[in-house]
Amino acid sequence: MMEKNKKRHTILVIEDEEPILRVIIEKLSLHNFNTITAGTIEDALNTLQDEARIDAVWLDHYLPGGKSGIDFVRAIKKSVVWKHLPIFVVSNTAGKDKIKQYREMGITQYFVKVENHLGKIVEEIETYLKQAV
Amino acid sequence: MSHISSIRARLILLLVLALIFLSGIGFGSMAQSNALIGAGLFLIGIGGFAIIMAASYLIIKQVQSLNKISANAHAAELERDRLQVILSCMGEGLIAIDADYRVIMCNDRTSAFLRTPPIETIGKEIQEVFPIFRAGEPGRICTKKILAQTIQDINIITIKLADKFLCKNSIGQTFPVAIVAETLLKDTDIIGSVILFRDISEEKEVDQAKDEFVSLASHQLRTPLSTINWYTEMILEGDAGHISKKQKSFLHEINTANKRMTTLVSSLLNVSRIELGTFAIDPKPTDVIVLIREVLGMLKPEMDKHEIKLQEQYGEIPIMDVDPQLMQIVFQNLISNAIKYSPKGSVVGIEISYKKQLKNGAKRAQKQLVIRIRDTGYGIPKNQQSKIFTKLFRADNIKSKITDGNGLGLYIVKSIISHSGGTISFESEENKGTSFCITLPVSGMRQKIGAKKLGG
Repeated sequence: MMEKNKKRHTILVIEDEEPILRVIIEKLSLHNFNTITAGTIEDALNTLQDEARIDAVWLDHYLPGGKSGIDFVRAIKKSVVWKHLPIFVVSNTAGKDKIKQYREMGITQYFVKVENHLGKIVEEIETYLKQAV
Repeated sequence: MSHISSIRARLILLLVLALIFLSGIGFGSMAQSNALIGAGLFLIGIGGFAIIMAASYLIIKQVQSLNKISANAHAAELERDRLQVILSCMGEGLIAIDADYRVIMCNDRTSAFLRTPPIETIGKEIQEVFPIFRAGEPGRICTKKILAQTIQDINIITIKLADKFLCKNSIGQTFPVAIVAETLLKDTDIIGSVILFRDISEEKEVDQAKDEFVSLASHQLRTPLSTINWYTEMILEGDAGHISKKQKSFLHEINTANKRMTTLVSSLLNVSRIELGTFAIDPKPTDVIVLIREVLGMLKPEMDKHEIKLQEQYGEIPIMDVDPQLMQIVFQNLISNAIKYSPKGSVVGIEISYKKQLKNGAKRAQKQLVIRIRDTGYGIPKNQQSKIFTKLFRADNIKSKITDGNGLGLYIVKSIISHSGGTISFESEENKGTSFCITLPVSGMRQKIGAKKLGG
């Protein structure tokens, strides 16, 4: 009997809207992900300092505290440790300029919340991480 | 003035001499006993008098014309002073260059923007004095290249906020710039160019604020919709436990209504962008056929549901500069309308062709992309056809039949096509079908920055 060494990936979910955060965590857990949450960019950056084991980031754009998703990506890309961390931006902001800016900074994929099934986004993250390993 | 006073002095002297001459002649003729000599002297007197009068007349005329010249010179000086004042007070920078791209003159505002005294600009090459470049290409100063259109040919060129040009002044400050440049003509010869420009930093800020507003509105409106969407999805997929058939069907209704709401919000946000003018066209080299096939792929479930027979006819279409996101919206709207507003089993036809058409008055044949999307569906009643492109309009014959539709799609499509410089038209007959036709010019959108020919 072959025991599949199922690796549990850890996702850092940066989202401030409570109900949405809860349903994302629920779905990710059902797909065998560990989750850590942060409600602001500050919290997220602090979490990265403390937690070494993060495999991917689920990032919203509009967040409280003065900094937006773009500031987070900028900070990550400067860090030697985290600049290759896969970033999945999941936001309801679909402004062309914003999407262009995110893509130019090198995020992994951009999803517009209302245009996507939650399950589909989770599956795509799953597929990406499986391929990456 | 001294000229004139000396002439006056001469005139007086002449008159005095004339009087002396006349008196001399007069006395002489009277004193002369011989009648013949007396008459002769008398005639000389008359002749002399006539000559003197003529000379005086000419002198007076000369004085008058000198007066006129000095008056004209004075008026011209006043006019020049007034123009100088206008040029100095102008809010815009004005630079005139000759046919060798060298500065002939510039106004005070130019020196305020460029931080270079006007004296130091004269005779210099324009790109030294007024370096401009596209946003993101600070190393490529293209002043000369842009102005060449007005030196090599009779033209007016316009550069607006949307063209994203920047200028760097002599102290290293960069600011966004709007420019109008026009060929300077002397009779029919091109002798240079006149450039009018201004700093549009404030306009750029307003534009960014509008864009941010739409972005934020988008987020606020869509957040509760996402919440409803995803929770409903979770329940339907059984993630919250088993659900009964009835619960499933009720949840489907919630889902459908939510999807309609989502589409409506997206459409309203697009309309909002159009109305606020924060609607930028971003042309990229695109394979139009690939694009339309992607859209057809997305709409396949709908087509299958309506049992639509698809007929495609594509000509040789090269890669061209169009905005792929906007074209996707156009295709998606028109094709989904063709599917939606047709009975089951109908035909939807798509034709894309590439034509070279010589338009009236144009020197060169215009390359056009022609897209035709036709259906054999319900059509648009003749008396409602004029309103089809207006906001929130839905024709009466389909309003009750098909509830899924918000009346904004065609308004958005028309706005996109108009902004891209194209045209959209349609033919329709009730219960026979509708055929939409779009033409798009395929001249490079980047090269011609609002170049217009003078005089037609």
